[in-house]
Amino acid sequence: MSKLTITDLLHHNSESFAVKIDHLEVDAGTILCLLGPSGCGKSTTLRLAAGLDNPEAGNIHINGDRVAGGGVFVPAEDRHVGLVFQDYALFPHLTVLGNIQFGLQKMKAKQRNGIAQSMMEKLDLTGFSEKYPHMLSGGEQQRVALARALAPNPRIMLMDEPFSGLDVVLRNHVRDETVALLKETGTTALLVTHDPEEAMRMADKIVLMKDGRIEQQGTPAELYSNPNSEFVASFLGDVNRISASPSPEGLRSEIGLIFPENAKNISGDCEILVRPEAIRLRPTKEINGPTARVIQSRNLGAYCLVDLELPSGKMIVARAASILQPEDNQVCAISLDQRHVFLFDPI
Amino acid sequence: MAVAGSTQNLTIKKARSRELFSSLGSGLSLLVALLISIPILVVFGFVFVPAGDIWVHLASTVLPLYLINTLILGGGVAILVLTIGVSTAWLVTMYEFPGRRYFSWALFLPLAMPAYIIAYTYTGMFDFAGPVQTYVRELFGWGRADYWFPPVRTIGGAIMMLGLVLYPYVYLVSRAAFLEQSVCALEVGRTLGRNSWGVFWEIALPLARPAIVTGLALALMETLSDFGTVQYFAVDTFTTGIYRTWLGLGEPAAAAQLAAMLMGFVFLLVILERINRGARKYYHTTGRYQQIRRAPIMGFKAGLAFLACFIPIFLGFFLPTGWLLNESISSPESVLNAEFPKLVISSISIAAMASILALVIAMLLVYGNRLGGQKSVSKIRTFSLRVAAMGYAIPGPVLAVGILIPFGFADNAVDQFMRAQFGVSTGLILSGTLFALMFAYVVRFLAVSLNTVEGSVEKITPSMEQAARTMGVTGMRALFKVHVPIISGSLMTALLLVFVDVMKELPATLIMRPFGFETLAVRAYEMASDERLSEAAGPSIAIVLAGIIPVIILSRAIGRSRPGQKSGEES
Repeated sequence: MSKLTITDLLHHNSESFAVKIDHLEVDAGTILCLLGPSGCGKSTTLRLAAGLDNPEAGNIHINGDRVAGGGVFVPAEDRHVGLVFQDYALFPHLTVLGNIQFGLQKMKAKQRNGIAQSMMEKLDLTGFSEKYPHMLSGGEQQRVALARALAPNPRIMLMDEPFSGLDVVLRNHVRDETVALLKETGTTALLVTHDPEEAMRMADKIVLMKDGRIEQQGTPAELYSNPNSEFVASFLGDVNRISASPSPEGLRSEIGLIFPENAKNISGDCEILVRPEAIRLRPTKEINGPTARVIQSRNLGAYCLVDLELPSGKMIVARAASILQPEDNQVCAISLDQRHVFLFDPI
Repeated sequence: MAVAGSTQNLTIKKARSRELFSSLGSGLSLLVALLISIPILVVFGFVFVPAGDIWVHLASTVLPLYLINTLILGGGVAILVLTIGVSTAWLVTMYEFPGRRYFSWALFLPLAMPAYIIAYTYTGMFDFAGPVQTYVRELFGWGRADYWFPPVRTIGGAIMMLGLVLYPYVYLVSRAAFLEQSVCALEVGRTLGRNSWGVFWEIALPLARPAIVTGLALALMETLSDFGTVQYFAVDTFTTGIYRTWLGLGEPAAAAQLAAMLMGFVFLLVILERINRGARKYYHTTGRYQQIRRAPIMGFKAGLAFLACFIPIFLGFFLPTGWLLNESISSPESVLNAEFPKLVISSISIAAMASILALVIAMLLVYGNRLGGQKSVSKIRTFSLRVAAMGYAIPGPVLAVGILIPFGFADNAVDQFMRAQFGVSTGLILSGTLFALMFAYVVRFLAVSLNTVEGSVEKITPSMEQAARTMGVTGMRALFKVHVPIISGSLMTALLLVFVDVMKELPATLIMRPFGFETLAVRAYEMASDERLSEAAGPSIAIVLAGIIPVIILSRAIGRSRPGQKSGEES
């Protein structure tokens, strides 16, 4: 069990783009997801952690050992980290066994075979040992890549979009398997992804990046329910943007009153972010409350998405359980789940 | 109703004429492909003709020597081209050091230097009477027996000469392979405990191996078919042996059998590599291409990388070209004589004719194949297309044998017929004419234009043609509006490549040219053979200058070849 610590990191990817990380820590035995849109610097961070690039400034420690910074640079080959890429990057000229044993070259043949065998058993690859990568399916290739990276018992496992090459059905299955394996072996993992659903499904902790900086870090639930910026809120899930203005009772908007903690800083008009599941729909009884007309609703299985038109003509989206799916053109009363309504200070 | 009927008639007529056109075209292309394959089939056909006592004679005298020399030459050149070609390709692809940008294309330059020309040049520079040894003697006041200097005109010298001008074949394919490789695989290799040296040996090199073998096979084919260098250095190889058995001993069957043995060497190499490859697939299991990040190297190591790239270019191109220029300038009468323009014109006109002819035939074959036709015919056509493209692998002297035998046979048959019927002797109609020479060029270099045309026509997908058809653009209009704009650049490339190959060609020209017909290559060879090296310089420099053209084309094409790399980024 090892932990990875990155402090005061600065690295220019190109002249105009720099990654700047003050503090990032992957606790021993946990899975941390670096999440962000493409070009946010998450892959660069991974490469720096792997020792493929040398950072311009800052320190990287693995389990207290300095691997970069302060005049020290431990190259990738001496860092004892595992690396899995999106395309797996299996060696096409080696068999499955050859691929898995590639990182064990310093051991005796017997020991090497033993480790490879147990790795193949763990990942359900027995019987594949003499096959070449091109003979395997996508999911099998992914497992070989994982086995190859895990075989030398790396201190940290680094994964760059490791599931995006798989089709949707397989992806969820392989994700869960991978998490189970990482937990079972007690491996510390840093995983890069652009998919918030993947991050929330796998991570113990998410670090959301934008333009080379960390926007917010925390558990998946923290980021989803307590985003610290508009960017975080909208990256992790859909949001409706609705204008509001201060009033003595609270912030008044077309869909009702809201009472965010930071409402007292607001003096003029502002915009609130409302998650679709925060909008609850009921058949209209009272006339006073806010209402909306259903334009259309789409059933997505467990829940349905409802397109609503507010009296002002503004369109919003709500999410409701399928059994509560309203009819088109029905006018509904709206109430809000205040936990999923966000107000951010205008910048 | 009547209108509909007439449109229908018209459609049927159109369809019929299209059918006729296509079967005519495919029949013609089949005929041409078969004609082109005749010399190649003749050479292989002779394997089964008993050559009698000559083999006993050859085996007891020169054959072991041919065999050993050819093996040494092939082995030496292989080591040299692999070392230079692969290492320079790896350096310019993976590292950043002073001059890298220029080296990446300048490393192609020795391709412009025909082996026989670099052989004369080095002889001129480094032989006993050359400027280098003369200077050394003057400097130390030595006489002939006082010092040792590496002799140029030996088998070792031949290996050096051929290696210096043939390594670009290996460089070309290795660089393309390294540019196409998955950076991710190399990086994973690093995290699995390999330093950059280990990554090169254990990942990059095995992955590039099929490509490198292709390049090596090309270089070895050129080595085996080389005539000018070994003849000039008096190293007896298979190729000089074929020349001598054919022209000296008058034994065409034995010459053809020697030729077939020679081809066997090359095919053996390719087959061995295939067997060794087994079930492995070397293409990358990825569709994602990361940009290659060239690692900067500094100081002493950068100096080494610089020298590793500079020395082959200097020795293979700049030194000999400089010497040739110097010779041409210091004895201008070898260039500015009355003969020189005549040589240039005859070289250019025959090269232009051959390249246009090769292009037309290549287009005919490619489009004939594309038009399709009956299955049985199309199989034969595909086969003859492949055979026709084999000409490039056949050494010039061997090809000459393959052409002169059937041509001589045809001439004799016609002559006999005419004498018997009309009492007139027609003599030689085909042999020893420009037509025969042109035929030889087309057979030898058709593969070059065929591959280029095929590659570019493949870019026109059937759906493009169908899209054009839905817009009412068919037949000739489609050819000019869709095909020509897409392939015209490649057609130009095909023309130039064949043009320069013909300009450089020596052995087939030497054997097959009409009496009194001279080209730059022939003149350079003759002057050099007579030890009039400075007079060989003028024609040689003209050939080298022409040879630079395809080098530029090639280096531009390969820079664009990396998938996912923007065209401007890689150079």
